[in-house]
Amino acid sequence: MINRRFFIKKTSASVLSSIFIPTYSALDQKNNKIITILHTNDVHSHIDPFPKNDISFPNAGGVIARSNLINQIKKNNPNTLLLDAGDIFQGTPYFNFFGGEIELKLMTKMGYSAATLGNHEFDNGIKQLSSCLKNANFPIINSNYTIKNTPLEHVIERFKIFELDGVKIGVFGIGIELQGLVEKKLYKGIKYLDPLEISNDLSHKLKNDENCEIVICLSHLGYNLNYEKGGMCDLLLARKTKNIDLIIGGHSHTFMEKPEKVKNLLGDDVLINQVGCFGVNLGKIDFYLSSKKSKTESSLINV
Amino acid sequence: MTKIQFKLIIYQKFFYSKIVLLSCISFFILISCNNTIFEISEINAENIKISSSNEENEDLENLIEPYRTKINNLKEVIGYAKNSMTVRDGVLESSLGNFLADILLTEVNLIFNEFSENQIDFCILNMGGVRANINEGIVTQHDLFKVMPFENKAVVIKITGKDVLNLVNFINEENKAHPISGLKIVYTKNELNDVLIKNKVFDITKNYLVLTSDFLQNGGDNMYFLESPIEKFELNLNIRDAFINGIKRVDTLYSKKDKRIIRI
Repeated sequence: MINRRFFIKKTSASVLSSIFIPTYSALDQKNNKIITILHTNDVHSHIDPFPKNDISFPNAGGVIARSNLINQIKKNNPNTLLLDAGDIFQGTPYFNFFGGEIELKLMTKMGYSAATLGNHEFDNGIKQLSSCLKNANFPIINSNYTIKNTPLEHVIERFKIFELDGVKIGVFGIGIELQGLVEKKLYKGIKYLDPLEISNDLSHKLKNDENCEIVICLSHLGYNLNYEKGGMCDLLLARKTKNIDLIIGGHSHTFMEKPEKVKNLLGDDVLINQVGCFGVNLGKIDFYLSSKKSKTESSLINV
Repeated sequence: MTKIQFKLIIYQKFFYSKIVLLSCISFFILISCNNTIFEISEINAENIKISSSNEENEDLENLIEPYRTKINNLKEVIGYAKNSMTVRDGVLESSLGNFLADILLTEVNLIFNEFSENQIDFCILNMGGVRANINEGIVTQHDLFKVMPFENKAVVIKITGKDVLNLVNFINEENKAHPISGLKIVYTKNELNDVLIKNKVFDITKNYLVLTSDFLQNGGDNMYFLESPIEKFELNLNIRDAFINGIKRVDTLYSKKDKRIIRI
């Protein structure tokens, strides 16, 4: 008797909700979602566009054009994350004179969701980096530098989970070995940990414990630097890890025409993308998600 | 841009038409999947070029303006480039690399000779330290900040002939167009063929005076052979300032590749 009453009650509630829900929430949006990931890397303090007589990038870049493009894309899909893979600093007098303040203020205004640390973020030392990051109203993520007892402790986040339209997106960040790239006194106290070990741990946690549908690695390792010699780079990271869906790269200033699809340790596809440098390109990756019930055999990657 | 908009419109239209059809069976679906788990079914990607053509954004302009005003004095013209120069127009040497290394060597020799009778033998910088092109036409201080954004200082070191050989082998292996002046090297395929320093045959038993940046001398870019010199002269001279002074002196900039480092 009790069971039956409970059953009826539950059913009627469901029927009721089913009448109202479709009126304010489109059914298909409940089963299909689009998440757009926009990204930059190695912008190197480029705020103004290149002049028209530049031999490499005539009239290209500039924060105004970038911001307008971002806003237009966000208008089409509000479920958009905007990420940067590091080397925000160093490259124009804006950095020499104002130490990174204006770059971070502009990124905040443009609506950046997160960024990772490049080697040039350390060009004025850890202490200045730490105080400059107060101008960033978005998380700065790094997962493989030990920052305990340095000014960056409590300033840098190890990873971040974003939720857009009910979809969980886990983002972590991998920095390059600073030795040989940055003067020792500028990164004193920071130790570089193995990207493969950290990435495998974190991507497992994000995918399986935190149930993130999309796992993104913001990497400043470089696309294929010394890959033939077994050097650490995005290609190696993609092949030697599990659970990463997308690696957004930086450091090598690689102008990729389109993202590269690589098989990971499990034979699943990982995308690697990088958009050169100096803010002349914007990467745009649309993830189409569907409910697991209507799962197709394998996902389709159109790149 | 139109391409993206177009794609999204198609996508939305497709789903609105489906909504009408599917709402008939919505009862069952809603009852059965309250906690839907999503997974990636498709990925579309494109890398979009950002080009500036009379773009407006008052909000950002207002934020940038006070900063831009403060650095406007850097727009002062310091020279005129007869040709565009880049570090990317060669394998082992480049037009811009040659220009910068030559001008730095000249400038620093002027200072160095004030307290030393010796002449610097050659100059080496790193290709990665040259961050922008010099375009044909007027050249400003602002341009030089983009070419050489780092606050690196010039340093002169005395190194052994053995370390010079290490340097020559390093260039052979790296195969990069590091800015170099005063040194001529010929490689035959992967083998070292000939080294001239200030037009004299390289002698491994001698020591040499090398001009470089404090960044490289401290082990930057893995140039380990600069790390433990016999003698070191720190010049309190910012390398960018030296470039700017040198450019003001020559006024008209011109450079080309002259086969100073070649592989045959």
